[in-house]
Amino acid sequence: MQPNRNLRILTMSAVLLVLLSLYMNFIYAPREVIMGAVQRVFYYHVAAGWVGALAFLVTLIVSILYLATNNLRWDHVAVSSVEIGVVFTTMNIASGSIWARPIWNTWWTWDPRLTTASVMWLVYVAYLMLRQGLENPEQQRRFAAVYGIVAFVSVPLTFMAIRLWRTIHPVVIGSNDPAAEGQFDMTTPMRNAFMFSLFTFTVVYATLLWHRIRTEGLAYRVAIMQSRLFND
Amino acid sequence: MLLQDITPDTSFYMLLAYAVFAILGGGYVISLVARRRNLQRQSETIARMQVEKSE
Repeated sequence: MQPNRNLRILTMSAVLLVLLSLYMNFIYAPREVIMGAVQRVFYYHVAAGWVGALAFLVTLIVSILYLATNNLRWDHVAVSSVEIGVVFTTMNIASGSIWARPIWNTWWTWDPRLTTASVMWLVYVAYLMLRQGLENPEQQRRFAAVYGIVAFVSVPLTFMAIRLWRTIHPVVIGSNDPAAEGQFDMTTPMRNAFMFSLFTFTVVYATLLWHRIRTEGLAYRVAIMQSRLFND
Repeated sequence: MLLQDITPDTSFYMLLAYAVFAILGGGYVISLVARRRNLQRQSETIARMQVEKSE
């Protein structure tokens, strides 16, 4: 199964965008004075968090569509999107922990944002594990769709955690808690690098999702071929 | 110059974080490629077995 022309163009664009965003993060954007070089983690840290949330939102939408239409394609999109979302959320949590070490003087603290992000990550890891645990494919898909809808509650909760509760986590968009540590004012090049990273990660997500859906489709066809072979 | 005016050297943490991005991102891409190759091989094997069975 060779990738089609559009997917090939998208993949090449994603690679090019990643290289450009690295240039913007390391060379174009200036070094932040208070935090030093570690501030550059912020560009990909937030972008990874954004892609995680976007992936889980896509899962919510396609899970509803699957329950409404029973079309297998939506289930393939849902499981693919969750898998990518988990990878990006892992990046987000791990890079945040590394950033926190020199800024907060600790690798981890049970701050509302860190706690809700960890819960969200666990909820979606459980999605992938529980899905594997069910043998009946139809039951597996229906269960995953319902779970994908309910699990989404953890996403806005994570987003709002730094706005609802007192926290030391900086707020990028909107008002900031005075207790936040590591807050900084973005200069125009920093803002440009940040927006470009968000765009780049969104394109990378779309590319990975497309590839992953194709793989899921192939896995489904192989399963059908296997059952036909052994049942004939 | 006052101590608080000196920008700290936090390059190690920056490199560590970008290494995490590279390992997780690259690792996921490699796993996708490996899974697809396995499935393609499986698909070819099954197709061959079907032909043999029909003969």
